[in-house]
Amino acid sequence: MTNFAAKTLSRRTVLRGLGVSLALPWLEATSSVAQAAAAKAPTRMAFIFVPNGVNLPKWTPATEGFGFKMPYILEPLAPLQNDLLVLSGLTHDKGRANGDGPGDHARSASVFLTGAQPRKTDGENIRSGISVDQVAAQAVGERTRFSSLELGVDPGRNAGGCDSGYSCAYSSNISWSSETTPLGKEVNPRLVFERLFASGSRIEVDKSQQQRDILQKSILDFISDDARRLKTKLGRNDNRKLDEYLTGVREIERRVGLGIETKPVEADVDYPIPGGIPGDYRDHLRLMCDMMVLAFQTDSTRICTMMFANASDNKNYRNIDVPDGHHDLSHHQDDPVKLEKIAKINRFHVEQLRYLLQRMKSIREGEGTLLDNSMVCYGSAISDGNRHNNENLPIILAGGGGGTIETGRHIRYRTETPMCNLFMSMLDRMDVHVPFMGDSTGHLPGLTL
Amino acid sequence: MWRYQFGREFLLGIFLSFLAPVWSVAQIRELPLESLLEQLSDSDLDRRRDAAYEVARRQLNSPQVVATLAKSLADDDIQVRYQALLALGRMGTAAEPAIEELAGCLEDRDDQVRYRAGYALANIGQPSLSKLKSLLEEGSSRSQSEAARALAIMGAAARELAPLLLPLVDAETAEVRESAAAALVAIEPEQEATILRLARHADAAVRRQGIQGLAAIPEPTDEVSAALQQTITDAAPEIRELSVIVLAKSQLPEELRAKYILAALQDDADSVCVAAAVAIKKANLANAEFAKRLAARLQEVELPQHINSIARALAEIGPPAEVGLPDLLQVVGTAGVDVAIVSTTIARLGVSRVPDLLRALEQSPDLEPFISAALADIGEPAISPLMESLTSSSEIVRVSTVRALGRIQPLQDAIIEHLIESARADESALVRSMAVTALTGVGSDPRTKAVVLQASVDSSADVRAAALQGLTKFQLSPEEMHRPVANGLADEAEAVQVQALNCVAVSKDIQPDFLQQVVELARTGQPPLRIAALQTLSKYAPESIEETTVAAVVAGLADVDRVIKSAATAAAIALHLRQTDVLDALSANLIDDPELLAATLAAIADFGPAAQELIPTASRLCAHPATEVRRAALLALAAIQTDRHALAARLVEVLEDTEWEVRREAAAALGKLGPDGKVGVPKLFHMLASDEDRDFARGALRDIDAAPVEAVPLFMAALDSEDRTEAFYAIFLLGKVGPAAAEALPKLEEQLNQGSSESGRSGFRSRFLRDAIAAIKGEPPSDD
Repeated sequence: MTNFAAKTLSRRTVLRGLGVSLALPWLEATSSVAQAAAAKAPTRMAFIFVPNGVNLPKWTPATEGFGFKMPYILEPLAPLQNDLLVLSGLTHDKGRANGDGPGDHARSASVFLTGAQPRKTDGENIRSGISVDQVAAQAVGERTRFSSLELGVDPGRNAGGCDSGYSCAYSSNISWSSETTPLGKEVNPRLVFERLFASGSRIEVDKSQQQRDILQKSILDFISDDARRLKTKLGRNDNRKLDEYLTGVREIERRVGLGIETKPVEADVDYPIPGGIPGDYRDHLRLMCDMMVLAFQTDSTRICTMMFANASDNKNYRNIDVPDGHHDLSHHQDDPVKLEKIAKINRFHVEQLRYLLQRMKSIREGEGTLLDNSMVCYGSAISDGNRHNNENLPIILAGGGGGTIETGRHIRYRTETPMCNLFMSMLDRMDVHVPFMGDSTGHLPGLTL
Repeated sequence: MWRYQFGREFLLGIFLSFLAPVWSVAQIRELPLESLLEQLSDSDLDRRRDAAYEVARRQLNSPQVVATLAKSLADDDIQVRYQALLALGRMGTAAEPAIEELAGCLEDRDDQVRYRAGYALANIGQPSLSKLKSLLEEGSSRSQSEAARALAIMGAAARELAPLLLPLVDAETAEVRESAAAALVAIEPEQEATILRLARHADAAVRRQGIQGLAAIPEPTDEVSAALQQTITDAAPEIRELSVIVLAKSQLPEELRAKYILAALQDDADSVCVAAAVAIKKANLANAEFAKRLAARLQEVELPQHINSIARALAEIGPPAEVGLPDLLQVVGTAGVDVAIVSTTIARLGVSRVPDLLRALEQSPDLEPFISAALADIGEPAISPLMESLTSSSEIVRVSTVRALGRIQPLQDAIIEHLIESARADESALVRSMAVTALTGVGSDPRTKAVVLQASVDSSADVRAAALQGLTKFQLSPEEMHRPVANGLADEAEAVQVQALNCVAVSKDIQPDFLQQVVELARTGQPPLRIAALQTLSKYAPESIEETTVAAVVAGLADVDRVIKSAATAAAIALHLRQTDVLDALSANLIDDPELLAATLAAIADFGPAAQELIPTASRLCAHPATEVRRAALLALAAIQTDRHALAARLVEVLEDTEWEVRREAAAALGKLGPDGKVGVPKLFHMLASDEDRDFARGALRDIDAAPVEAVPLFMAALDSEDRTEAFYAIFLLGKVGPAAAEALPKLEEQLNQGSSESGRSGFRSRFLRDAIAAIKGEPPSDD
């Protein structure tokens, strides 16, 4: 239906209030009627790291091409099967020792997005490579408010040794803005929320935050005038979208404990939990996923990384009846009981991925969805936690990449195909063209038919 | 005080060592070019690497830099080579003097070196064409392939070499064929004749390149269009998958696009059918009109896989395909139709037609699995009509409704209330049991707990069994659990007794109260009960068992029923039974069934040396045809054999096994023998060459920590190996031989003097060499 009431809005229109500004989601009115048909939502890229490898037999589909049967670990993604690719055979050669001895876990995180052999050191002379997200951020990051977002749930250290002579910087980070600069991740959803919506001077931001805390106010209370005015300019479809969006923001705000009373949390972790961090790991992951979606939806950034846990994480998963540490279990020595538990952890992580992807799929952008316009690369740089091997990695690429990826398939690549070839293909779709990325040897064929 | 135990120089040294890394990073950034280039040929690997990274970072391109980097392309270290290639690749034509060295890199063992060299040559452009031409004409297949890839990067600028690529499309090596085809498409995308030839090639990988090339032609001629359409009948399913997507996205008239999709939906390969469903949206055919054609097709097809395929296509179209729902419901009863696919489709098409679905179910009870799954998938919009149908006069409708409501998560309060009512008062036992099962999914809710406890004394055995099955999901106290379980174990219905046994198995607190009843059922019950009882016994703590328990397990081991034997074997392992009569009963089960054999051997391994009499049997079973038996046999042998040399000899034989997991267990067992396992070292050393075996062979070699003198010639021959792992372990193991390896000393000392560091970090190999030399000379190892 033609939207007669719609007027053209700038893509950069924001709703403002004291110390806050709320960017808008993709609306029909952000492009003129003439442009509407051709208007193309931007392509986003996200990378999600999981540690300790997976139970590969329960991860890998038995057949290739379309119509493969989802194995146990991937079953939760069955409703999204046509929105993703399962990629087998990819390798991170620079995650291997290559003469540097033990330290596979630290290497697995540092290599995940860099494809570069990290220098074995636990001092300050760390060296890895520029990660794929930062290659993209440095090329197209200026188009958005934040060039990239780095998220996680486990705090990390950048100093000291964490794994057989490797600096903790390697285990705790996957984003590197230069060969020597890891980008620390944000683990507090409240701080991410503030970062996404804070605006104006420091005094205004502080005042706004104080008022919201003390008066139990929502961020929406501050932008309500702007929102009312905007609604008069929008057509019915856009009004509905705006309402859905504002309700979503409110719900997330409630969950990060802004403007509502926060309950003290008890968590089974060995570090103090700052305010705003949920005590439950699953809730924490989901909130961070919501932050990613919010950032993409409002075009605050087009590039995001997230660590579901740090490398060699030994968290237990009592919530799914796995009281053992993840890393301990990963050294399973083919013990069927341990393998079963690893599969449960892997499936739990995949369920959180499903949450993220379903959220992205629920957000409409023009003729498609946010997921259609995104590329979400999920996986580990270790294949089997017991063997610590770096070939045949468990990798999922979800999303249509703005219509450039034919999803719904399991593709098996030749052994030793560099993971970085996938990154090269993803960068191309972000309109970032570089000759190499890490240890790439070209582009990954077959993503498009 | 510790402070006074160390000198000031020592503490200063510690302080400076913390500063050193920071200082070295700052220093390299400041280094003048001359010094930096000089550092590229330093003997210290870390310094060479630092210099290489820094040169690449500075993006210099003077002739002096090019000449130095060209030399670095021959560096032993791969990271230095990468950085040199990166720097040269960025220079473009300025890297021309390095063409020869770059071309040499196209033969490198490392893929990335080859690719980066190809990129650098492509970036040099015209001046490198002559070298690439000679490689295409006279190079090895690897050079030809890499040269073709470099030309593909150059694209149209490499046009003059296209005629040389054409014959390579028929080369013997698959990689050359594929690279040449890709290059031709990249260099001359408009050359229809060439691309048509590729699309009709015998090699599917080349055809794929050709088809993608044809699809990219902006204004296809009739011949191109015809060739594309022919691909839908290609012999390779992966090409037909590609074909249906390409045709769907093509500029062919809508009728033709529809025709090919319909044809592909009835393809023999399921993957092609799924591709056809996905192609519908790409062909802009996701509309009611096309859905009608699909629905009509449903009435014509007979094979269940084709019904599945068309159902999947209707689901892809979504709500506009609602018109196809009646036709779909008519054919879902066909044997072999996939419940998951069809119910998903019914859910997508039937969101606004829940009452119609329930009516259809009333008329055709066979639809129940499809419709209840679909109703659950519909979720929220289905709740209201479903709650109304709980009072339907049709039992099948109520069953389906309860089943569907139970699957809608999370269960809303209103649904819980309705389910409680059904569990208490529905006249149908089937509905009551379904409702109880649904309610047990709610968790610890006082309302549902009361209903389930009440259901445990229902008049129907089905309901009682459902209640007991659900009890474990509540947090019940031992007192609350006791009565329903006691009733259940004494129930006349076997299904109820089995569920009561399961309750005992998972509720540790009540286990002691019911031990005798469980033992009794394990000894005297019907087979399903005996199996469940033995499985329950295996959940008891070993210290809580009594003599009667052992007797029940022994009776189970001696039973004729294989499943009972297996359950008893599992119980013997779980309860750590070590009695002689248990061992005797287990020994009698070393018969032909592989699964039972493996389990029995695992139980026997638990006896350790007490089962020595079975050594010959275990040794013989190490050659059994079934992998799991061989694995279990060698583990048993390792546990019961006390003669370590005899064991080592047998394990070395098992290292020849065809299965990786058996070889790995044998290697691990040899490792556990320590120096007594050194007879296995030569074999393990050979296994280092295998990608599959390398990891565990290394582990075993380290654990054995010794090597036999007879293997010295083998190790010496490997000192020059190109395989770094092999060369390292040769040094390490020569050291382990000790003074008896004196003949290797000259060679080791020569390598040490050469200061070779090709295997990674500076000094790493040298340290190994020094340690090995010291061990052979009988000296203490070096301090570093």
